[in-house]
Amino acid sequence: MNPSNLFLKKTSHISSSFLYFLRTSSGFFIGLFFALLLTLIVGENPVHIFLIIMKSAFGSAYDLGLTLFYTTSLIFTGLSVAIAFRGGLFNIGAEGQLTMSALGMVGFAYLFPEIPRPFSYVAIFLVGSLCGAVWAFIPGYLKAFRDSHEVIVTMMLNFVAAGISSYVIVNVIPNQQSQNPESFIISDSFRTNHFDFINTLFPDSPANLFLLLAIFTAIMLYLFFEKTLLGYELKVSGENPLAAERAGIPVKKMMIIAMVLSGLFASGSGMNEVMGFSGQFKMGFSPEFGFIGIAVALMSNNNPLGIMVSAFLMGALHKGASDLDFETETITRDFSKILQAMIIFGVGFQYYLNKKFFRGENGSH
Amino acid sequence: MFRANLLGFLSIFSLFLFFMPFNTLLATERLKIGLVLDKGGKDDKSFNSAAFEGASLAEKQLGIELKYVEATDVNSLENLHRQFAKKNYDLIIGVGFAQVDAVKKISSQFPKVKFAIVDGEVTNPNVKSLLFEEHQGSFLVGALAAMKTKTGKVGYIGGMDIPLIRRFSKGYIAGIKYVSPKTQILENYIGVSGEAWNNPAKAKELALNQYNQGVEVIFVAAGASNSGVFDAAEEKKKLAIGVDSNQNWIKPGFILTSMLKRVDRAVFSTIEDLKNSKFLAGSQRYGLKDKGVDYSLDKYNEKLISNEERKKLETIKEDIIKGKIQVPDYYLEKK
Amino acid sequence: MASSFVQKKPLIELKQVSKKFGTRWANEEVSFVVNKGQIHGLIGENGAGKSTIMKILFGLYQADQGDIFINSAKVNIRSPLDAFKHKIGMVHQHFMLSPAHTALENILLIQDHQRPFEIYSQATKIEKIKAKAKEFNFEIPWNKKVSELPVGIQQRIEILKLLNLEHEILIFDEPTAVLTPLEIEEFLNQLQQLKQKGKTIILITHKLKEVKKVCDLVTVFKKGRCLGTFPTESLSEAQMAELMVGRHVAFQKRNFRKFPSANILLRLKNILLKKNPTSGSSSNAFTNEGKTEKENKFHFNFNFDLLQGEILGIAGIEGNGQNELIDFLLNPTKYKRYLDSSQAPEYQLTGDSFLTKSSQKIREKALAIFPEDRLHLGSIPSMRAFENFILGYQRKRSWQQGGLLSWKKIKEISQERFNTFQVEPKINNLSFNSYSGGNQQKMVVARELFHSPDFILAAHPTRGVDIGAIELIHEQLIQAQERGAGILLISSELDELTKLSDRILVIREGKFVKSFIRSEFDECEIGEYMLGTKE
Repeated sequence: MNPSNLFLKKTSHISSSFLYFLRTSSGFFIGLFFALLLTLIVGENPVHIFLIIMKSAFGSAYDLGLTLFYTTSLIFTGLSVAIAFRGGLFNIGAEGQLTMSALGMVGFAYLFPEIPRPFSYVAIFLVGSLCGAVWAFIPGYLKAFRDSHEVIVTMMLNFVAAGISSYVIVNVIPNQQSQNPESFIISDSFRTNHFDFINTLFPDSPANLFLLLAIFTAIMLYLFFEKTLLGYELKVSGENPLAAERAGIPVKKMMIIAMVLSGLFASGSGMNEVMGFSGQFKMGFSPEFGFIGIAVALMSNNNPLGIMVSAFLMGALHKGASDLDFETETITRDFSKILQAMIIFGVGFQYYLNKKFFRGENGSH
Repeated sequence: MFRANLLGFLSIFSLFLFFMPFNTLLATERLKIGLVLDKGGKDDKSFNSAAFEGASLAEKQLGIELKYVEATDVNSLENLHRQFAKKNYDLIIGVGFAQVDAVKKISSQFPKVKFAIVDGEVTNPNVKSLLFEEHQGSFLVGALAAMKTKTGKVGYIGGMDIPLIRRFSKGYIAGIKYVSPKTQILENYIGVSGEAWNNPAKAKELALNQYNQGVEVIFVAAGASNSGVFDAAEEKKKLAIGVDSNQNWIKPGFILTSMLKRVDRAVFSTIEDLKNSKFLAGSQRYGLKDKGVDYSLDKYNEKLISNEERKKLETIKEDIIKGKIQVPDYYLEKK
Repeated sequence: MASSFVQKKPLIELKQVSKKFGTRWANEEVSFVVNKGQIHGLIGENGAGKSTIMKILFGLYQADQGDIFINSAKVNIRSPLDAFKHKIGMVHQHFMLSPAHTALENILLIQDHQRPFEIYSQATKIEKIKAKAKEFNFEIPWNKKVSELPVGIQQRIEILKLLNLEHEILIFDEPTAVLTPLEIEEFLNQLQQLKQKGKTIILITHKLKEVKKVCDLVTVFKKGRCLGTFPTESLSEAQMAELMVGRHVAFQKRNFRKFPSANILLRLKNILLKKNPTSGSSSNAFTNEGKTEKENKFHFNFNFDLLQGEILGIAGIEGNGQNELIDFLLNPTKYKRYLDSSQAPEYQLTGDSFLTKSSQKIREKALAIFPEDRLHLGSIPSMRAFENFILGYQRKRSWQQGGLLSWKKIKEISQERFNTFQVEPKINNLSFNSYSGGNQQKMVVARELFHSPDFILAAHPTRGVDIGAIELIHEQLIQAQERGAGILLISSELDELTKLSDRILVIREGKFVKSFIRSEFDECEIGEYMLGTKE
């Protein structure tokens, strides 16, 4: 216990070292391990299953591209959940925020189809960000000044967003060529696919430029927390609002800022889909990225750099699970839900372990 | 502690390597058929179930090799079609309109592979589109519902509010009005997202609400959500009408009939055609005349429908086939 | 060491007991003997290991090495339940009472051999408890809710709980930290009575005066080791302090000048608050629920001047408005709705009016605050020590470089500063909550006095802090005062107040009920005003 305890102590704070990563993602692997063990029950070989997942995620440029596409969206929602967490709020509403952002973008492209390049990009980017941010501002404001619980409000706003978007998509701006509940396809001047060098690396896959934006955002957020005054004040008011108030930090303002930034990041998921990939709002384009984002943020303990890794792991898993259905006789797509659940248990277990190790440090005086 | 974890993990991991199956792929001459089911999944007892049954029947009777998968989300559809195509499957069947884009894209990239799409139209030379005249079948069950109601109220519950489901309701309402123009119709939709196909609780709630308002028969077109309406019918001792597959057996005595959409037949015959080298690309529409859509009559519901009603229905059916009755089509009107 | 006391019958014997937390020895080969029917004091600095050894005896921790003997038989205490079997009971610093139940119910709830569905309030049981109370001369208002009772009575209930279980060995962890002077006296008398009835008592305390008064034997701890057990009469207070700290402890005497300066530093005038806006909300989470209810009952009226170079003491039992006073001083806008503006209220600090200024504006002033609750209000427990060093001063330009926080600089300066304040361990990148209570307070003081404040709001600056640290903190306060800073000293330790203050105001139910100048200081009288027995 001693060497490990020392090891924990040394790496107990945010650092980007590999050991740190290993410690914080041990929960992921524990969960994955037990989930794979479960496949024994139906007579599959866990190693075989694991290899399928690996192959599915990295097997070809296309496979990797699809994984990275999921990763991109998950980085954005993971960051969204993480910054809210750091600000002391639990944002369940990333799903609604990315929905509103995507809706805002197609709506804007519908109303102003003829904006020339490159202004079109700037404009649609701003509109998308704004919609997500506004959708997150609402619960932030209500929490700060009306004391309503952000979990309830964001959850309700998810439904509202789903309702509004499906109404608009099906009734106002539908795709006339398709039976699918999806919007019309926005004009090329709003889409990035004709100069997307990321996409050319992964032909046919939906991976796109926004992967770079996601990575850039994650790094910027890391620096924001580590280096800036605002980041410090945000962390402080999230960790201990009473002390923050005493330290002259406007806690309510911080809550709103945290939520607005949270919505901003969630918008990235919408952009990844609309601007980077499909050019339209397809209902159900997000397989609940907003919720998987919670697991992503938890896994990395809300560390933006860690989120890139955990988003990739979860993306690979999401991609892999659908191929399990394809490659095996007994395992269906529902297994991906079991995998996710087991991993969340694993992460919880990891927190428990960490806490147990630290107890001795605090309990002595 | 942590190191011990890791060691344990590795040792158990290596243990498993020993038990890896070395199943070499058996080379077969059999036709390989891939079936991509929609989000509802093969156990929705409805649309996807029907497709699955058709394909399984083909597997049994025609000796083909069948592999089916269920979609996890919109983006996975393309991936699944691509996987099948890469493995040189002979025919890949996409079930549901949501797969139109995926089939369109993959069928152009793999021109040698044959595709079929249910409920959608793709015009590539290697794709067969299987379409159904749902409005005709809906008209029939609408007529039956109108005959059955004493209160003069009938209901409709749709899954997601999309054109396809509107097409059902339009035909259904026309059928009701054909029999008795004064009948009052309550119409509800379960949801606005894909979840609507798989939300029996909400469906039950809506159904109970309608029954409480005096509705006697509810026609429900909502995939796996249907079971909620059937539960409500049993609870309230009222009637419901199923959809797609023959659902009469689910709650015998409470399901008046099912509007059959013989996806199973369409799938089966498509596979059969391929087997007999008669596969033709293009659109095929299944209607009342070739029994592609119909109403169901079996031991579970024969007591619910009198001979007289049966005769009336048959006449209406004849009239539609002959063109005497023009059933309004939501698709055509929209255009 | 302990062999010279074998003439008494040893009840508890600890032999070479060691306990390690991580890499640090909390107890190293601790051996001492507790005799039956005596009061045994344990003294030592914060983190010296006296609480740890008692937690081992009580079964909360397990020793890594060493043996424990009770009545000469070796015992293995793995949990508090085991401790119960050996008739060992502990009164913790934080009482384990249910505030919503009455005094009687609280005792009834904890019974020996109780079956799950037994009716707990049987008449015979009640009789037994009341008889017990009579035997030990405990007066308890049986049917009042615990939340309505003063801390002293709550403590009595806690003790009675243990007596009712027929415990023979009673361990007290800092029992007097929360009591007023009168209550302390009463408590010490009770200890004597318990002793006369044959109970064995172990008393962990910082207050050497009390040790001197009631203890028969005293065991001194230093850095996890036991320095020895001594008869109390053989040591003077100063000698005890010297043993504990390891050097001679001289409390710096203040130079009391006659009002060193006539300049008013802080003025509160006619601040009438109709109700307490924080009650029930999270900002009072550190007081227990019962207290917040009580606080709701009265209005507040703050009225005083603080001069430059003056130390103004605020005496009062906790929960009588001290927290609101601090809160108001730091964030007056929060109280806007509750402030009676018809009375022409004034809040001036160094000549500027702050009645409508935000808390940020106030923090920009040269102001220092030792919060009443350092963990909840003065630090971010999960963040590292050096990150805590800029809390409250995070906007100071000197911490920044090119618009970004310069952690390198902050680390260096805070390390230097922590070293001067003898913060242990001597590294500043551990999380704040991994330091012991005394060291946490030292870090708060080190931070707050770093920017040479004109005004210091010191709430309970030495609560839970050992002698060495008290000495240091008092020294720093006196230095600041001599520099000309005004200090508002809020404390429940009358000792501290009378030693440092120029003036003392007594606060009771939200109002200042009495003012004393230095020549009139009398602990007993002040105590009576605090309790309200004298108006």
